[in-house]
Amino acid sequence: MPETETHNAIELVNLTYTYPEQDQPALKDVTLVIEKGEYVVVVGPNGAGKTTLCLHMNGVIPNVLGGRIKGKSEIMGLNTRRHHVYDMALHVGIVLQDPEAQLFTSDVRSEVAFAAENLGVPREEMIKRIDWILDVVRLKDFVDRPPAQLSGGQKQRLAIASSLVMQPNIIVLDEPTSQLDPIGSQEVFSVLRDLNKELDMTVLISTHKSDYAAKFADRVVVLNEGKIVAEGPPENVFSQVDLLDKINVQVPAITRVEWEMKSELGITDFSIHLDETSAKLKKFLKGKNIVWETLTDQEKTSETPALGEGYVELDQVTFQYPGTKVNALQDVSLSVGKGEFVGIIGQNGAGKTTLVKNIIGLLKPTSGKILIDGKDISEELVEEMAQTIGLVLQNPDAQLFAMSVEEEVAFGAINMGFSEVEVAEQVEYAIAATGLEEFKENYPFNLSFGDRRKLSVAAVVSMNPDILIFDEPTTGQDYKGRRELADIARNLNERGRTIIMITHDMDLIAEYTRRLIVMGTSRILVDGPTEEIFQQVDLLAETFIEPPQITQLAQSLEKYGVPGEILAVEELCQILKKEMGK
Amino acid sequence: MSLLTFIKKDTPVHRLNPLTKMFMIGILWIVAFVSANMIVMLAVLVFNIIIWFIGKIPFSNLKILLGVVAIVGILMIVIQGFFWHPTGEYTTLFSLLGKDFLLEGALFGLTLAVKLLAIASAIPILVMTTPVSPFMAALAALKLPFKFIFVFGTAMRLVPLVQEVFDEIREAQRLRGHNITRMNLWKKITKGYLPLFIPLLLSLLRKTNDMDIAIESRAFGAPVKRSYLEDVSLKGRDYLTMIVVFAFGAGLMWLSSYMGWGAGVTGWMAPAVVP
Repeated sequence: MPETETHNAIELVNLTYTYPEQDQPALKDVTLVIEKGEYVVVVGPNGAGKTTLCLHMNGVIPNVLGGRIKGKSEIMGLNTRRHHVYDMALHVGIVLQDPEAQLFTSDVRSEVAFAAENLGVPREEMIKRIDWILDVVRLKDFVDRPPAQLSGGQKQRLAIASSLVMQPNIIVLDEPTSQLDPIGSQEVFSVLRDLNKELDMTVLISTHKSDYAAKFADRVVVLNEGKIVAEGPPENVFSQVDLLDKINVQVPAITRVEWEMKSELGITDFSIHLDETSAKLKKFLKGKNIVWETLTDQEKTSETPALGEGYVELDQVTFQYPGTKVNALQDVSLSVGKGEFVGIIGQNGAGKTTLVKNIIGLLKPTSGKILIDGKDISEELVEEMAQTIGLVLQNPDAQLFAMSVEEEVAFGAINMGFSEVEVAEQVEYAIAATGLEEFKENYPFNLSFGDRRKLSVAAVVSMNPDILIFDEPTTGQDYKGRRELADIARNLNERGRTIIMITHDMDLIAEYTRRLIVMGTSRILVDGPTEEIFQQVDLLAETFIEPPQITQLAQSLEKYGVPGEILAVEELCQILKKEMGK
Repeated sequence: MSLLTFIKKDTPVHRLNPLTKMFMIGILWIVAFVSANMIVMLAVLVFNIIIWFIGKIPFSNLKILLGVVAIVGILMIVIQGFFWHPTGEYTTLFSLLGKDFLLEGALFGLTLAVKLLAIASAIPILVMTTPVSPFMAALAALKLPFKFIFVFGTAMRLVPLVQEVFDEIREAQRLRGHNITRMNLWKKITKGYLPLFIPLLLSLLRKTNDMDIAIESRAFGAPVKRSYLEDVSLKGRDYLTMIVVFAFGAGLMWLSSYMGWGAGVTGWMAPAVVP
């Protein structure tokens, strides 16, 4: 295409877009020019217009979704209003948020092949590309698997591969790592960086993961309420801590440390890279040796929870999915005490969801025993156990059906056979615990995604279970939404509930849990106090996990007496400020 | 539904080109359709069962098939027994409400049932041993338009997809204490299905919408000649299989013409189904 030589990759000028049957525009007067070969990351809270922006890039808006559009929207020199999506597909690959909705063939290989076949890529070349891309996304061993049998993270990587196989000029990814383990997420960003460098592919990613945005992007764009509110090199954007805090966009932990310490350290430009911040702090700490025992005494006095007092007890549990030959769980033994708040982390496909489904009785162990409060659950029905143990599943939309939030929350309580008074009490309690009071009368599907997730928590809480399990409550949630959910869990924990939480969000898990269970492929690798677990960097890497950024920073400063088990920005700043005060 | 889903195994039947399997089924169907000779139809049935055996298609599926055919078969025997119009000699077995039940009619019904079984039992040979993608590539090799093939392929995928979504929803509702299996019919209708089918409907609507975007985004309908990953060229074993199947089919046709298309050995078949 000769015309594609002289223009920018993406050129949106004064673009305003309104979805059909909506009054408020989803994008307002957006001007965004991206040159060929740029690597741009879009951040912003849920509902900021990130997905809408992404869908403009290959003409799905307006060609498929309709709506009213004003302003210029040109991708690789092609006006999106005048070209079919398949015309655009020659130039732009797009990966959508929900991986499941974009997988529709019968096996991994044909899924990846689909787009290449549509573009008429010769067979030999296609095979080469498929081999390469499956290697890149770590799915080589799964070529014949039906997509339905992959884990959430694997599905996400497959969706990415299915688009990359077109080797487009521009690749657009809408929250491509929301279900990926930390190293898996980093790999996605890093692979895209390679493609960007090697093939001069223009990359546009929307994400909530500011750390990676900071690390990989040439440019960061901040969207809020449909408008671009900040834009520029990542160090400039993430230095605007006040703005980002106001609109609930996460600031990378290291940048926040510098920002908190700016007056003490006399910093004016903030770093976004770990080694830079580490170097700055090392300079500051040179010749000093922090004696931190005094600090940790108070830490240590806040009682370390006893590991496992046998409220939930697993004894040598092995589980195999019917029709498979590999154990999804292998000799898993663990014990969780009443009132504990336990985190489960581990790579995609490690068996975390399988584990909790066994605990709750949705799956029955192939061998081994599970006791809840001393009672063997092998003969128990899920429906009957719901009063003791509740599981909040990843996808809230798989259960919402009622006409109002209140009715939705009451459903479980009624099923438990509570009296009318009890139902009313439980509903009120659950709605209050999740902060949904103002939406009581609303139709569930009119709530935002974040509120629907809270509703799915309330729907479980209303059954008044002692144990609550959260399976990936952070998926697709912005910074604020994640913390709100974790706060709900913490509050419930403070009111005596036992909480088990699966997540890939290390910052969150570091902050909220006292104990971590780390899973590797089908087994427990290690189980212990959170701060100790994050010391075991090599072991964690085995299961594609890295400690939170703040912990990594602290670990780089251990030589100067900074404790390596720091889990929060405030902790580190407190130590450093105290040192300054001397 | 397992009757129609692909089961991954490594057998000679799985290794055959889908086109060969289509050819095989084509021949078997022609024979089973055209001939109503009981021996010929049983030969087709036995042939199918042998292929099932080689292809390690679980015989539990045959049971399902037999179950279905048995019901249809009994219906046919009863209906034909009472309503069959004799064209020659006939034997009355008994009378009910003044209507004669004829042996020839019942046997005709039985023939139809066997025919149905012979035809139906050929389907899993293709469907259960062939993944969807080579199947689609094979259809493309037959020069069918891709849009048609795609609709076909998606339809094949739709059943498991709906099942998947439904399972997820049922799981979620069980976790909320919703146990439909313990409800009586009235309660099921008034309370049981709603929490399952509303999320199913909404999920499927949203999924098809997203899928539409995903399919278009992956260059579906691009104005270029589509290529295929699956290699559907025929190998030696395919030619060999086709020759054997063709010879078998031709042999049975000859047998039919020799013994009678509809008459069979017992001589009770009327020429009603002779082409």
